Amino acid sequence: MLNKISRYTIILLIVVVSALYLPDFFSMLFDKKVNTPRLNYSAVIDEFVYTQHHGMGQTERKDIQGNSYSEREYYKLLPFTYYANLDKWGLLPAEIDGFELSSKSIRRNSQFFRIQPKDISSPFVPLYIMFEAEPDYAQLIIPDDVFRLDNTIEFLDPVSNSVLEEKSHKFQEAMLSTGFSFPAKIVAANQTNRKSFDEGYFIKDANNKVFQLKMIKDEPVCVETGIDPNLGIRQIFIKENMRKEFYGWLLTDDNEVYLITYDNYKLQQIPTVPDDPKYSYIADEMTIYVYTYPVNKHIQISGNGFKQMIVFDNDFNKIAEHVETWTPYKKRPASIVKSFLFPFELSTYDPMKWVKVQMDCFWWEGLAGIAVSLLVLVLFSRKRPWFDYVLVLFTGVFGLIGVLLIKPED
Amino acid sequence: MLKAILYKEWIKLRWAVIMIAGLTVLSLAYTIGMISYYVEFQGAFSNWMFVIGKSLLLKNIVFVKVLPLITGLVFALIQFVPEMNNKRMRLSYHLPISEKKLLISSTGFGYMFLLIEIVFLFFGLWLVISMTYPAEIVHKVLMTTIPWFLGGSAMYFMASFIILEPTWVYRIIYAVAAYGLIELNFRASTYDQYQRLWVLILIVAVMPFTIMFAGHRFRRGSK
Repeated sequence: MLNKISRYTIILLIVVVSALYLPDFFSMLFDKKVNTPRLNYSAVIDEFVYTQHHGMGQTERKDIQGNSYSEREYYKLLPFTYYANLDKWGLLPAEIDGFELSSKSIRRNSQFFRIQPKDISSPFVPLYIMFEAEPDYAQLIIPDDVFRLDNTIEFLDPVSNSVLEEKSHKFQEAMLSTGFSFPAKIVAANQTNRKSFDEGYFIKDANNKVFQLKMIKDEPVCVETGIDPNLGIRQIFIKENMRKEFYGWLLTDDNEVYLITYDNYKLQQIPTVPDDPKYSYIADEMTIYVYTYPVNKHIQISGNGFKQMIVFDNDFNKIAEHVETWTPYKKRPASIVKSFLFPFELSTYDPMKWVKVQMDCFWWEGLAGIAVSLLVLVLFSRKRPWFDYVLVLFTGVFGLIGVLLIKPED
Repeated sequence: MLKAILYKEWIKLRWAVIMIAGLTVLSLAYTIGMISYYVEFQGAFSNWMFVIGKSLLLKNIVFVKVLPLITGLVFALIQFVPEMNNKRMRLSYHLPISEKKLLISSTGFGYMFLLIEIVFLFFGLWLVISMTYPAEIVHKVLMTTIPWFLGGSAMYFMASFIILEPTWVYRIIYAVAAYGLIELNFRASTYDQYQRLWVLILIVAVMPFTIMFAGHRFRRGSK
């Protein structure tokens, strides 16, 4: 009996290894790279344009009406993207929609951000640094302590690895006095000194209220933002920009994206649902790009098999939208053959950067592979313990490899 | 009988155990040295920033990562290669003790030393890291080491199993499978990156069962 258990243990381990590696090898060998278009919107001709690479350095530049452009012509259509090159070539138009163009004015009035799945919740060490928001110097000065913020706020001194009681107490009092309830659920900031000023931390407290915490002249400044606690905030992103239009942006559980504006923290929703809701933004699997230009705003939702672009004026009135699609991985021949061949797949890949063993079942397609595996076993290798068949029934070709390699011993 | 078998395993293992114990202490000393070197060289605050933002500690504790792997392999080689030479294992299988008991006690005895090393490394690291770093970092680093320890355990069981297997064809098959199962524990690039650690624990927990099969095949004289 123990010998049988022992044999099936080995077979199961072989099943695990082959389910981890074989489907992956299969995709690597047979799946072809799809060249996806790079979409953009030209404020010069008010039309969507795109570039597409065709290998061997061949690049196609077109608008969606089908007109082709040379490289320089294409750059001229997109002065807000290629202003540096256009400026150098002396091809930068004088103005668009009443906005005077120069490299400087475009740079000053443009802002860009994106939310990738890995930005939302990936592995990190929950320790933070607090900048002096009004330093005596021209740039932000890196402090010499770090802090933790969960059930309490505690500043730590790296030299002695101990808590700075006085500072911690001061900050805790300041937070409590504005109505903050510990523990903090989300702590968000742009933790770099490569920025021109500091807006500190945006913190979601135990009651889902959002507070801003800064340090000015060594004193804590804590403000309740008044952001709706029922919004279901999933993550907050802060990025200081000289334009001072918004502190940052936040993502909700319903895949909504809001800008936190400088107008008394008022939220401005970014539309993430296009005319065809099938191309709506889903935070766990897609990336959203938001481009703010002097004359308009572009939103691009990049998912598996499509790129959806929506263009707005500066007051978020929709100007145009367009979707480019291609065959997504799941519908490509290699993937389809794979799902017929293998009943399931094990992988440790996770878009949020975790290493997580997970199983992806191919359900009814997988049954075909199981049937063939069983048939092979019945036809070519009879007189087996009944459990071999059961194993192949559940694990298909992986089990077949296992039971054929490791022969039964009586 | 059992006592005699364990004594025999001890005789085989003793020098390796002493060597590995020395290396374990040395690897913790290396970690202490590297940490204090970096703290001195970078300054305490920026060292913390490198440790938090750039996973610097993974570099300083690299011996904790590889030592259980090496130990697992060395113990398996020392315990079972002499037995498989000229099929000496045959003699052991003729002892008045069941082959299962014999294999369980031999591998259990070897694994016990590996486990002691793992426990020592874990708590030693806990002590070493908490001297310089706060609880958040200590927690993340200790969680990071768990898959490495599982990898070391997997190495011991799979290596023993491969050596005890009498035929080369099966050995090659097992080696391929072992590579995949061990590699699975070394996929992290930053601290505490694994979720669902129980899957990995389960995989390692069933590995001792495989060894019976090798013993059984040896007894049957499989070629």
